[in-house]
Amino acid sequence: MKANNAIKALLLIIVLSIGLLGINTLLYPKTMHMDKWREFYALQDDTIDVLFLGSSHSHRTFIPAVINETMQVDSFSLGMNGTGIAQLKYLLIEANKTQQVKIVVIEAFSLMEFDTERDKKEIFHFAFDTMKLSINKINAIKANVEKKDILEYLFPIKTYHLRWKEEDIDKEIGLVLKTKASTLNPLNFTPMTNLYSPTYNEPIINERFLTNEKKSLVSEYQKQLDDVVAICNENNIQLVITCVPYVEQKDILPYEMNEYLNGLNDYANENNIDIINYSDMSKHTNVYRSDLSDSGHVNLTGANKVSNYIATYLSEKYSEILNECIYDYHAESKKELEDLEKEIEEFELRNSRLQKRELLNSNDYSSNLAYYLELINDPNYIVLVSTKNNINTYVNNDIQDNFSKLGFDANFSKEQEENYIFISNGGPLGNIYSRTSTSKIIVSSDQQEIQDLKLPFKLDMVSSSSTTGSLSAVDFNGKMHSENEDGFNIVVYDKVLHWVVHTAGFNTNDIEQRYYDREKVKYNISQGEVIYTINIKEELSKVSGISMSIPIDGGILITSNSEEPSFTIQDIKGLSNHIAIRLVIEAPEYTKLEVLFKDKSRTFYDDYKEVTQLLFGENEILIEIHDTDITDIKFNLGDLSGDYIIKSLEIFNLNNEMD
Amino acid sequence: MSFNSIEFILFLPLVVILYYAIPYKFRWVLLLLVSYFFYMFWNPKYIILIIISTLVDYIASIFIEKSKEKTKKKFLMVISLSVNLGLLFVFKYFNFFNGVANSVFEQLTNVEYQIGSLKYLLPIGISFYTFQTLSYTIDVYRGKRKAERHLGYFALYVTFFPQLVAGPIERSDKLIPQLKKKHKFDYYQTIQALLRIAWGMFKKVVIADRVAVIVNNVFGNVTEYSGIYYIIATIGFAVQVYCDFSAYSDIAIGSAKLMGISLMENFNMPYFSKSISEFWTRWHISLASWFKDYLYIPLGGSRNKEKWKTYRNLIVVFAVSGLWHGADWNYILWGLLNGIYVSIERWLKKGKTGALLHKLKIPGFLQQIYAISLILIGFIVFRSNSVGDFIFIFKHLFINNLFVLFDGSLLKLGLDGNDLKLLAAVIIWLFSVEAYKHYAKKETLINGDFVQGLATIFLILFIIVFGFYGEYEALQFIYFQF
Repeated sequence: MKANNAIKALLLIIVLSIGLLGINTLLYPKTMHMDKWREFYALQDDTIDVLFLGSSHSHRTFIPAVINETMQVDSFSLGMNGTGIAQLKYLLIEANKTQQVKIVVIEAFSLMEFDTERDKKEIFHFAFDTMKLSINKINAIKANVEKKDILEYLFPIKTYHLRWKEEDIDKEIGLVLKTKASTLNPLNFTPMTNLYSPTYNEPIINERFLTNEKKSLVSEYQKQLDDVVAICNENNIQLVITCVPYVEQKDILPYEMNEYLNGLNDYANENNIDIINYSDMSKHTNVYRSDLSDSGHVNLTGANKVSNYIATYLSEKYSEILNECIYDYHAESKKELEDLEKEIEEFELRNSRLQKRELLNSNDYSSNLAYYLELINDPNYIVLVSTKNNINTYVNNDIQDNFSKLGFDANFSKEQEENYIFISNGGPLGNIYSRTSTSKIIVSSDQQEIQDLKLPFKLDMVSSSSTTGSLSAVDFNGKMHSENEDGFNIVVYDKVLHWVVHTAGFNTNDIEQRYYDREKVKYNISQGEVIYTINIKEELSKVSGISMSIPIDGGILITSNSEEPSFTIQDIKGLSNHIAIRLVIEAPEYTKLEVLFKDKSRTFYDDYKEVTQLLFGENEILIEIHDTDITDIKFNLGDLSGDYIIKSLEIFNLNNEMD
Repeated sequence: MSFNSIEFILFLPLVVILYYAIPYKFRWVLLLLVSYFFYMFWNPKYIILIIISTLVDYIASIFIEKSKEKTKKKFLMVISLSVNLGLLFVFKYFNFFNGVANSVFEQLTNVEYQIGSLKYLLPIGISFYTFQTLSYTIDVYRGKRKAERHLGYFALYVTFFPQLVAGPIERSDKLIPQLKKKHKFDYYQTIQALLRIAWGMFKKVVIADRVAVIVNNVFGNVTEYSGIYYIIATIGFAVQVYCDFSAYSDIAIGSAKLMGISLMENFNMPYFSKSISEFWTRWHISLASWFKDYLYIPLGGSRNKEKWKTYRNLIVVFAVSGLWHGADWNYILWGLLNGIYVSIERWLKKGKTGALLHKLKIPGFLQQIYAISLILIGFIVFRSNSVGDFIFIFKHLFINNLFVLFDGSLLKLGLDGNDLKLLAAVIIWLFSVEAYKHYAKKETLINGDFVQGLATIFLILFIIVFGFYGEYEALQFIYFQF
């Protein structure tokens, strides 16, 4: 080949290589798991002293900035989704190529098998796709995947090329083109920000996890662990195996964490492995259920607690080893920690708002407007009140007082039908708008007075009485939120959560409902007569509609796979006209519970009367129904997949009216 | 091994590098070994059939050449024909004809038919290499060429991997001398070959495999569809079968060209034909010319005293050609249909009607519409899974459901909106290129080796991103959430 042609050929090869690399980079999913290797390779050589390995439980828990600042050394987390013991060896070899790690912390979930074949495919992609091509990478792939799939992992573009169809791919590509490798943050930490349970600040510790029983790893896993131990010994690395806080959830996570760690004790002693068992971890970290994001992962506050604990533990126990380490990422860690503290503050604020929201949603306030007004008097709320028809008859002093505490000084006229609109942005100290009129009131964001309220949405409100149209409307950005019932209609918007957290209607004109009288609750459930109790274990046959249910300690476990779990009690005999239902249930966060009733006059399914509530964790739900001849009760448990535990269900006849 | 597999993408460059790296005298050994490997990668056992075919024709042709008696020549020719066609019959047609015999026998006698069907896979490429070896032996028999004495080159002629399993069906006088010739590496030729391969891959992986989803869906569930769906699926099939088959030829031609060997062109923009007769000079050219040389002419061709014999010959040739495509009634019917088309065209061109048609000067595009319509009707027969299916399709073809074009129903055929838009764009791209080549009478769209190199790279990258492959079942990545 002529020299001229050789140059041209070389040029073409370079263009092709750049093109392939470009495609790979542009179409590669940009999630935190995929960037782990890119971040690792962006590290300076010989800077990392403590390395965290393991599955998502590791990389969602150990916050490098927190650990670095506490320990005054450099740490990095190579935790990736689903990483198991069979991949750890290769990750460690890769890390050792450029870093002289002193301590390796392995999170114990990665020692246990709970993944399906399908999960494994994804896990291998996470672990190997962006690892640099080397003998180690080829070995890793060969050891983990089937022979026929080796090429798929060496050329993973096959798996991702269809991403050109994704909606925001152009924006993503734009972002990649702007981000330089040097700006990748090695201290990157992406927390989980859900709340497993906002109201139950109970420690997660459970006797079930504190057993002294022992279990051995399967032999294949034990061999893999031997390899990891050998690499650690060769390189003079202290190996620490720990676990992270979690709660029991059948079928998703292994129960036997502590059993496995107990089973490893002798082996650990022989091989100089440090094991932090579940009991110590949970006792010392003070992690509550509200520190979890789901049953197996901590959220931001949980991660902060565990990171602080492990960092203190390691620096105390291994001060000798760590003494010689230089703290390279000092400035970065400090800056990152400052940002993180702000993030935690916001997260905690958000959590407290969620707790408040749950409080609003956990009770039926329909018989207690005055108390409800106390609850919603909160600087983080925007409260919007619009009335429909006559509200005046039974508005008492308590209600009047609490409205004025909220900033609404209307004098509710007893003489004539009047319309009222009231808006409070941030309570009595915030921005207030109110209007009273005998004619129809229409309010919208076009008006200067409304613009002065600085609301975060476009608002339209209407209040009208029977002579002017009989309507109460509260619309945000064109979406209707008012219950549009007779009386007061109240919409509560949370400025932190950016959600409508509650809507309610209070018919202060209806003598039967007697909203006006806080003292006079109509029935007292403790004096009611229990006429129907499900003996959870023995009378499963009495409930229908549960496809998968297993009796467990303290209840029935219903497992739902996305289809809506529901159960119905039919033809209940001996119910009076006033009944109450008490249901104790543990459900995934934000489960929508619908309780539907059918009475003798209604024959069709659609004519069920409905009560809706949102559930958070364990709930005691109390529902009263009056003046009906109920025959059937149906419970729909939202459309979330997950585990539900029905702990008890009782139906009362309410005989004793308290007056 | 399939052309559109990662294995082939690794295999081909390795073979080409070795081909130029080793001394010339060992090249045939290399090519023969890799060709056997190529075939055995799919199913190692069936290589025996190729070897039998090779040996029989090698020996038979030498003896045919040597023997002076015509009867002996004839006898040897019959042996060669019986072995080749016998294998083809057993492995490709036995079950079909056995099934036919079964139903006829039971209809007539009421006695249970005893011969069961054979449970073999159809050996891939058997129709192609059988025809290729047959053409060689017949040529020797006719004295058109000398028998090849070098068993290695002859075996390579039968199995040369680029064209082994799907053509083009090469003639020995063209291919064997090229296999023997000492080729030097040629940079410009290499670039052209790579562009040709990339273009083929583009047609196959981006277009054919994508449109196949719609085609398979509709033809696989004909009773669920009607009217416009059939029209879309048939046009889709026309695109699919062309892109699929011509892509195979492109990759074959490109791969051979990498080693300096020119294979014959197999497609010449067939959908621009103005008549069915013209279509058959542009579609699967190597097969059509094979049938012409080795069946049509021996039958008497068009030089018959009795005119009806020409029409008979045409219809027989097309029916056999249909059967060659597949052992089922719909292929035979499709062949017959084409035979009738071509016969009618021939008849119309004669005498007064021919003169009239000539006078009318029908515009070219109308002639093209006429031709493509008949081709599409043929494809319905060809693609239907059974005779029952195409009867159903013809009964429900004229139901007016044009609205499905606009109400989102097309999105339920297996491709999403993005795929459909892409498909429309690449089909327009493909046929614009072809139209340009056809009307401007140019062989290539772009000139200059460097530009062609860049075009190849563009195609490769385009295929990687927009190819229809590797749809990973776990694309949802439920694990992203943790």
